Amino acid sequence: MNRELPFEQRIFNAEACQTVEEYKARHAYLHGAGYSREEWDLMWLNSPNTTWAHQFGRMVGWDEVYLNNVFHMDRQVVTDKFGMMETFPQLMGHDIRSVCAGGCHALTSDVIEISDDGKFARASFLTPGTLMGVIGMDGHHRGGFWLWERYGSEFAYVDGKWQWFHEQVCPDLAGDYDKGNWAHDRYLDYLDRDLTIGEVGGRPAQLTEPGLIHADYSITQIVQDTVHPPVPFQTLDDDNTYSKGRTDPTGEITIQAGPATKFGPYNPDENPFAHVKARED
Amino acid sequence: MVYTNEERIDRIWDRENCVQLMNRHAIYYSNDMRRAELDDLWVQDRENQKTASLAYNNGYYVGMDAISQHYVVEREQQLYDRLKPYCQADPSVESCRENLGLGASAMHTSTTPLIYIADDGKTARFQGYQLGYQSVGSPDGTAESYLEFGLVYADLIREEGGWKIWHLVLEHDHTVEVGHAYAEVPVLRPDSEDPIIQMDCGTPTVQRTVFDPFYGWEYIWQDMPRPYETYRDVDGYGPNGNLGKPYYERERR
Repeated sequence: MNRELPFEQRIFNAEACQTVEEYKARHAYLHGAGYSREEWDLMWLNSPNTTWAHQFGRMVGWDEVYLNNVFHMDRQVVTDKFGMMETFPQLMGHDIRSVCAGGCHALTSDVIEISDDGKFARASFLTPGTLMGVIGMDGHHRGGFWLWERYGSEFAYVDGKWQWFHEQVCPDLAGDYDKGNWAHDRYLDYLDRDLTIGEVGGRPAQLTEPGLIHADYSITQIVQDTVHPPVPFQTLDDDNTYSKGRTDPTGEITIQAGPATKFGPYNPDENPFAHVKARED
Repeated sequence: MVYTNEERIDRIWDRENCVQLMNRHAIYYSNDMRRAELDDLWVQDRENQKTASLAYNNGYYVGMDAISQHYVVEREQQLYDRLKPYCQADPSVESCRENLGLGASAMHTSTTPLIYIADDGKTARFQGYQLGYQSVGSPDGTAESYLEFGLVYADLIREEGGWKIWHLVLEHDHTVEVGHAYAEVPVLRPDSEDPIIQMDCGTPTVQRTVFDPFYGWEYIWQDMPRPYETYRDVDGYGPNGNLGKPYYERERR
């Protein structure tokens, strides 16, 4: 935080920090309830440089972000609920998006900085998420899992209000609450080809910039500090952003960023742990 | 609303105080400092105490006397009951207040705060999410341990001594018993058979379904706090509010 700013600007920045917390919390609850439309319609900036990134790469532009996070999310939620209703007919007549929902990407440990020019906010969060359901992932039994992620979020002050501009989601760990060893089990999943590093989050239907932006935990890599906590900054630029090249809310592109790593064709014979020494037992 | 700089600073500071009030509740609750919590964090104004409430999935305790009877007195008796086996196993362990909670541990975190201060500055509405655990030990070395999760709602009110808890709702989503597969718990198990509900919730003064884990977060869009001018019972998290009610029982707005 820059204490050399004029008094009124410091008040504005303090309010902005609280708005970031508010937006992130509203997102956590609305996303958990499957209310995507309300979230994106109310809080997000409609800009060609709006981005939403996950480990699989970066969605670019409002249309693509909205398509994946609202239309496709709604379709998935509704499809899942129709499946549940076949087994549990008492769900019929209830809100098809939010009924039985309840996963919370709980928010902690936020670090928030507001730009000296008062136009941008940057924030990082940790989340010990819990994604559980009385009707769980298979539609028949209680279940779910915990999901630890870190977030890098950026906001722009446009048209007199703060609007969500960039989001970088970094999933690190997932596992069951009631059984298993999250480290070893994941290692076995990779070995058995049930999971490929960087694909725990799946892939969206449309993605302008595919590439492995954040690799989830494995025993073969160091910690991925993909969304380092923000430091005091003058304005959003390519040195201070989680979305390089896309820092201008009006749509100017400063870097023609391509994918860091393009997805190659899936090769089931490739063993990513080939260099790891096998245990003797 | 347009505020002066002084009002803006007050409102910023109010929000921080509300976050910290609910964080303090989480710590007092975790440590079983329940009498102190009612004294330090809850409403002290006599009129506010009459309408104070504490709610769980199964209903509301209304008024500070009922809250105190359940939250402190019944809990203390429960802790004395849990202490008995320790005293029987080891006669040097006294059945006294200082030993209450022997072998137990709990933590109830307060995450994801969503808070709005009313335009009139008199009240605030809070939503948070609790990720927690409880462990209850036995003198034979065994322990019952649970992970537990749930939404938390609160109406906070400004009194002379600062922000205080007025209406508190501790909803309960899931109980995962450590060492047992959650998938083996029947989906349609009545909420009343949930071990945490049985341990913690008792028999509220006003019994109605405040939260049904089977239907999950169905009403969260209606129930989550949002900017507001002034407190109204119907929007509040007390027994006269709409929290958790099905659509057809809610007052038309």
